[in-house]
Amino acid sequence: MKEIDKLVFFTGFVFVITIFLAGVAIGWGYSKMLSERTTNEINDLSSKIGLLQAVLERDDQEFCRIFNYLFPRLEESSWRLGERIEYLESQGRIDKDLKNLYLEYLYRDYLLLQTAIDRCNYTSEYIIYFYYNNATDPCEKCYYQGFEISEARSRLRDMGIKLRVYSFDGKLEGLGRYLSETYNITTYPTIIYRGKKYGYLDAGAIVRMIENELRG
Amino acid sequence: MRFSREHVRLFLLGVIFFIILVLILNIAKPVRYFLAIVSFFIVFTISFVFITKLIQKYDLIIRGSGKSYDWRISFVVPVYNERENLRKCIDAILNIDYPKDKYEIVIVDDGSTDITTKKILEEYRNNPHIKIINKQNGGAASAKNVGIHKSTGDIIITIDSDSIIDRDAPARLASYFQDPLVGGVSGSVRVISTGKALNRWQSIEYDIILVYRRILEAFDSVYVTPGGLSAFRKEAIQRVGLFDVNSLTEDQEIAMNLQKHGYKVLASLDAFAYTEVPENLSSLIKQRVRWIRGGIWNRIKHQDLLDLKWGNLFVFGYLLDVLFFIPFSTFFLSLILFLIDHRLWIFRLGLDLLDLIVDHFLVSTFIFWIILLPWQIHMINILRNKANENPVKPLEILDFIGFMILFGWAWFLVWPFVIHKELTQAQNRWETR
Repeated sequence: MKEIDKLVFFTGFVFVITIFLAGVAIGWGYSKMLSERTTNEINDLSSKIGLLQAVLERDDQEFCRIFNYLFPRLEESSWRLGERIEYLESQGRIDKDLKNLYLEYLYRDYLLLQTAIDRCNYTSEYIIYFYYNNATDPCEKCYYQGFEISEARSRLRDMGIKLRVYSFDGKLEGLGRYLSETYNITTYPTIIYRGKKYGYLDAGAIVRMIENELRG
Repeated sequence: MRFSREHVRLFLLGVIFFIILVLILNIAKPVRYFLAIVSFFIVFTISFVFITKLIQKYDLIIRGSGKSYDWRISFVVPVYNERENLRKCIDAILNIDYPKDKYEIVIVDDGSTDITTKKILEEYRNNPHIKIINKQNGGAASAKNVGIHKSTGDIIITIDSDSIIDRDAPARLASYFQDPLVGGVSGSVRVISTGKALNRWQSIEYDIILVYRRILEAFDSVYVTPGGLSAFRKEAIQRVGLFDVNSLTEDQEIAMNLQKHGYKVLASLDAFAYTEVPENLSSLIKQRVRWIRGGIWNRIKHQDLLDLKWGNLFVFGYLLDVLFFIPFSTFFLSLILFLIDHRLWIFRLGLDLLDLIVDHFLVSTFIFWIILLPWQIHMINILRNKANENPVKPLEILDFIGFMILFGWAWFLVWPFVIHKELTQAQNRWETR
């Protein structure tokens, strides 16, 4: 009777387990690093928004001038940050604290924009997008809605229209839930544009909706 | 219970169903990931099992063959429409380092219809070392069997008519037969270089297989004696009933059969023959489809090897090959889907490149690739050293990366063709490349 070389197979398996675990450790370490970097970026953007708020409290006229200068410059980094958060979320590599931190920043940004629209006649096209991300009860349409909004945003940019997107996880404990209740959100995804609520919209529909509004 | 053709058909239909489920509906993500991780462990454990064995028995594995001129050798060359390659094949045999009175060449024309082939055969008809036998077309295995029947040697060396044997190869192969238990020895079939990417990748593959096969010998589990070049003890091959004319890969079937009858099958690392390989994707797919189908049918025929009593041969020759393809394919599929998924994100987000490999599973895979790369290069260098060739050059590493990422992992792409051929019961028994 022939034998199976068990020791060699066992050794091979131990090698594989070791390398697999090393891979997991590296991946975990990188996730942590990415998460820390994201936290720093949020803090950086938050401090700039904080600066605008401080100016607002002191002097209305100065606020409008500084807002007009600073706010559009924050737009790209804010967008990239949003995408990164969404990406980390899709990979299940984001903790609640980080997400809340981001949500707070986003909400402050949103409130500031509202103030600027009211007081400085600032014009900006924006949508509020409610989604949720739950591993046990995933919102598949939200996943695709994210892609569609991205696509719509880049098409609008090609047309010279800058679209701001405020993405809120409506089921996130704390601010997320508060906002979804404030806006009376019952289904996901929901897009709010100029006070009107819409369900899932593909990129073409978003572009048409905004174009039509702008044409008046 | 014995497996039948109907079982295979049902199994293949199951495979189709599974692929549809995973690919189109895409609802089986957890299943896909589970299978991917299982196959990840299978694939890489086996790689490390080979590395461990190589380290353990390094000197034994890389040692060269001796030379023996004691045996009477019959070269059996099955031919079917081979044209110009045939001349090179015959001339190479006539030029070997072996006593002229101790070998013969038995060329079996398996009903060639090509005029060039017939003309070439006529040129050699009067050579005293050559017997030319004409028969009706019946496939490579039946041609080899007729050749063996007409041969007078103690050792039979089978060689494809598109292969060119090295001068020293016969004496080296013959040296293994001093051990009376040795029934077969696989030759070291390498690729004739044309410089094209597909050719270079196959060359890497063939060379790596040679070292793998040598390691398999250390496991007492060599289960292929390639048609390109192999040697058999005539008495042994006759005792097991010659080549199976119904097998699509009779060179594998005979190796399994010999071992079932108690013979050893060994692998040489320096008895070289050089062969042509498919030069385009469609002929490559055709060849691989035949290999896979032949492999499946050989496992069905020799399903009694599915028993622990066969030791390592059961693991390498049966279990792994059976287990390999579906999980292996799933692993590859998962990687592709993962990369596509992430590519979308990359295009969309413009994130760092590192994000592409951040998934823990993928990080582990990359680590394995990085570890396996020098190991693959080392194996090729062993071979090149035996063949008096230069070691791998730095730029050639790109070929290895292409081989490991694209070629080595793309076997699963062949499966739809395997399924199609199997379901339509197509026969293609006359392909050596």
